[in-house]
Amino acid sequence: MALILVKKHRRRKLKLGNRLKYCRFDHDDMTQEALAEAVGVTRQTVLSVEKGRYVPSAMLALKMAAYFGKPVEDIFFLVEETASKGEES
Amino acid sequence: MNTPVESFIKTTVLAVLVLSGIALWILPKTGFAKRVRGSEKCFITSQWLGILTGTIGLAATFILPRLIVEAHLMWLILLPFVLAEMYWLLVARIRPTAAVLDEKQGFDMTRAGSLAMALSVPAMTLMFWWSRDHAVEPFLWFPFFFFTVVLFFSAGVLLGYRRL
Repeated sequence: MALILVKKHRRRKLKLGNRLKYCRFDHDDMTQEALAEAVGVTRQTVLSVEKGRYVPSAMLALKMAAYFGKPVEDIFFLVEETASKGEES
Repeated sequence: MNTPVESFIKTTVLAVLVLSGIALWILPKTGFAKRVRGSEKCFITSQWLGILTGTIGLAATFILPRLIVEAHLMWLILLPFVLAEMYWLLVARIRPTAAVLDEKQGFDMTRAGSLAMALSVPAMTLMFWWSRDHAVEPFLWFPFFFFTVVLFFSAGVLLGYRRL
């Protein structure tokens, strides 16, 4: 079963989706700048991660998740490339 | 025998490099150190300086071929970019425990480095074809390569950073 799933995943093009924007809004309408400062990166990095243009390192993803007090998989998840546009934050 | 232009360029470059070297050594020990920090603005400005340096350098390579090498004009053109890089060295020296660049900046620089190396091949090929019909001095190959890489690298970083 696991082998079938792995093969299925190999055929599909996956990308990293995220709910960062929603997390920021839930967090008193936090700005990208404030989040960037909190996790020690630039605003451009937060913007790129939110837009799905840049895949953050495990360290940065964990820092963001810890900041919002959520498990990392609640913020970052895998999406298929074609479905990603609608699901992106 | 140095021409006046050559002497002026040599003196200026040497003086600025020595002064900035002294600043790099002394500034971390002064109160000025608190004000030195790497910001997004500094990062973008450094890359724009790279684009400017690369463009002016390439233009000068073709317009003033003798001056660029024999009068050391190449080093004068490079000076602002070198000073920007020295500022980053100063930041790294003053804040050794903090990351000088954030991970996206590091990623963009790595990608731009590969892009610059890859694009320098067709650029050198074009120069090679062009040089068959035009008398290109052998000493111009180095400045051409150097400024091409600086231009492609800085433009690549800003493209990755969505600021170009």
